[in-house]
Amino acid sequence: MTSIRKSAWFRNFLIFLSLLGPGIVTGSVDNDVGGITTYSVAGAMYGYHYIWALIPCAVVLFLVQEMNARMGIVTGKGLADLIREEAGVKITALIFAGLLIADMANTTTEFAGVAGSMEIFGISKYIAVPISAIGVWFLVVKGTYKIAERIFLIFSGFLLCYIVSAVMGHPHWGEVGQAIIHPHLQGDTEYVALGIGLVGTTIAPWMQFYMQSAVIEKRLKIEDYKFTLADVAVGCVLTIVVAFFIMVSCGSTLHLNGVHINDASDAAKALEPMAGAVSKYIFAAGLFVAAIFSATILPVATAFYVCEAFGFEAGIDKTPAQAPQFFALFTAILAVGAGIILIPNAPLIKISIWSQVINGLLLPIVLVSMMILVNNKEIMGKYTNGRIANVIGWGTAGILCILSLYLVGTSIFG
Amino acid sequence: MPEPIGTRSFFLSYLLETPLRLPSGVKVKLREVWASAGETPRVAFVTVRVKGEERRIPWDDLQLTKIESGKYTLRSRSEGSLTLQKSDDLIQIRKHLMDRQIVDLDGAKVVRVNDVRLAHVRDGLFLVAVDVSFTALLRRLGWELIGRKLAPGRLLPRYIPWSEVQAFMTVGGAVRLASSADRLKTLHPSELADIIENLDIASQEAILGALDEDSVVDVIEEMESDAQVSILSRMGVEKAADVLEQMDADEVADIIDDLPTRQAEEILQEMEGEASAEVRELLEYDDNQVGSLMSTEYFTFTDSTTAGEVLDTLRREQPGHEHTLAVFGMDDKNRLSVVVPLPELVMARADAPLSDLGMERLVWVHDHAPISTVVEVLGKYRSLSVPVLDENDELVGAVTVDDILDDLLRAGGRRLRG
Repeated sequence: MTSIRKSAWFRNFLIFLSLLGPGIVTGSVDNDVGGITTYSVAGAMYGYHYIWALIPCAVVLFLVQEMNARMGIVTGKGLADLIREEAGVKITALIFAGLLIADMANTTTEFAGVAGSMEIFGISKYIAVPISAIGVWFLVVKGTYKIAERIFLIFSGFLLCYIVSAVMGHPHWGEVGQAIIHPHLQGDTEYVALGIGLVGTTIAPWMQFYMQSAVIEKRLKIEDYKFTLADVAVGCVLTIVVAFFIMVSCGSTLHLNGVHINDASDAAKALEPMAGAVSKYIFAAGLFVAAIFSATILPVATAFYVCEAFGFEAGIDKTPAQAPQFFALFTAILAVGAGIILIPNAPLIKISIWSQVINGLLLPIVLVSMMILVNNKEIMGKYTNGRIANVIGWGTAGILCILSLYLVGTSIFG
Repeated sequence: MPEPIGTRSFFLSYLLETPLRLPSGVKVKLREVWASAGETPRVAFVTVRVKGEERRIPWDDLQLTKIESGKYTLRSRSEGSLTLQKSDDLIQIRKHLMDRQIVDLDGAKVVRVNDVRLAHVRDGLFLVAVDVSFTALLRRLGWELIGRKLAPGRLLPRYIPWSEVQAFMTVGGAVRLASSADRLKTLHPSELADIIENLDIASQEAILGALDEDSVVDVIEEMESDAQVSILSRMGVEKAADVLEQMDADEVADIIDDLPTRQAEEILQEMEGEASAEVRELLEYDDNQVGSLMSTEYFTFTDSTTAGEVLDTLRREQPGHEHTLAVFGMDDKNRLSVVVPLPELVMARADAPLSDLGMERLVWVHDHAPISTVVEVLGKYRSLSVPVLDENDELVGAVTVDDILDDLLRAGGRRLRG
């Protein structure tokens, strides 16, 4: 037991470290294969000209996650619980059917990342994907929450290898700075669509459920709020830093040479002639880590909040016998995600577009539900949103609604 | 009086789905069904909204008729009255029960209500059970018939009778129990601890508020350490201090250590001098030292005391079993001279002095020794309780198998391998 007399800052630092987690893990999963792809494509197409957009993304991400953390701490209820209690069974079923389908598609995208990155290392997807899927399954079913969370924290560190990859491309830092200070706006559909993709990949609906549940599993108290706030902030910064370096990396190499790419493993391959083989491998390693990371969290989180909403036992600290629905659902999502990749000529790009469409439809629903819940005095007591938070919150929800509808419209009709 | 034929009992979800036809011909949906709280909640009235006005219609004015399974018509004989007075003491079945978490007292676990069963008994409509089945979810989504066809005979309701339900209701912003806590109090503290850990914060407080202080102490002792900390930190300094005073010093030290510094200090100051001094001493030890684990409650006697006298004392004092696994005999300089395990004490002749009993070799551990030492000693000598001495060879505590077991379970064995 540590002495109570130890200096206050050291103690507070320890508390921070022990609480560290939900925000940082969520922030890291945010940089999943879909995210890396979007950042790479943005960098390759527009060079440094899209970097500015990361700043508003970070602000919104922080705001949304702060609300989740606050709701979790104050009520001790998950977001799924709250939606179920306030909106009833039908709306809940609709949201969760959407989330389940979107997350299965997202998991497929993650395994596509596993396949793409491992092919760069010369390993066939027919070996890499099954082994990864089985590894993920064992980590979740046989491991404990503590082990899993530590591995994830190490993984979060791994994502920083994009910094190395960026530096190896010899970026023009002056131009990067200019591009941030003077945002570059373009009106064409492609530019707007990519912007929506950027927001969509940064603020995915499932993250809100994950964040709030993680806060409750940790039994955070209102006294811990300031630490949680720091955790959320660090998570957001981490997300944005990684996104920033991916954009810089692709912007200073691929963009200058006019290389067009479709996904993240394309980016890794295209880096070789310009930044060297090491850069290619580092980029691919980062992609692999991100893919595994998200392929673990996504199915767990999905299974968790579906069970939470419908009242089944859930949690990775439980055994399959204690929580059969939870583990069955988790296994099914993992198997479907990995399985689709193993089908020769599977329509991966279509799957990824449709998962973005469903996410785009769900995000406004989830955000509006959140804004209503967080302002309900009966639920939040004195911890409802302040006026500024409400202005930014509703503004964000409104803008995201419009953007998402636009994205959905263009995906279906465009 | 509502029509009883075919409507003796039915689900709330059907009632909420059925439009209510007022005498004026207007059709509205029920907003809420209100029932008296307590052991046998009787439905008193329903509320509807007509042209932006909330109206209250007594249940006795309604007539429910069954057309076929799951299909009903609902008519009212009166237009209802404006709801002016507050009805805080009534259960709002939709708001307080539907989709909410309740305690299943029979199964001693927290479950979510998927539907509510109402029944006509004698002269009124009563809330008789909640349905927690998956079938109830399908029913509310309108998929019950499809489900029945896909899995014939397997989709059945799962009722928990109201007498086995502990529900919660909000009264003026605060959450309280919807019926008396008598049945809840019959649960074992470890079951209650489990239940509380699985509930949301407001409901946790409602349950703890309904228990007397002794039960609260018992329940908190049974909780996981993170839940203990979470609950005590929300309790307020005074109440937390009262609760902690009744717990063993070593457990209190563990909890205090996890609280934020300022709160920990405030609680220690609020606690009785003797109790907090003991805890403070324990807090000085490092996490992996024997002292952090030892209990400071143990029995010492001069080693000339006879086994019979010792047992008489124990019978009189009625201490917890973990404090009596062994008693310690002290020599005339007040130094530890003998450790006598309880079984040996019971088996010994009543007039045998402690100095004649116990192992020949005095086994003890140092308070600053690593925890692995005490594990070794307990294992090697199969002792139940090992005395702990400080650097002046003074007895300061005892480590029992219980303490080690707790530690093994809580730390997952991490500290023991050190």
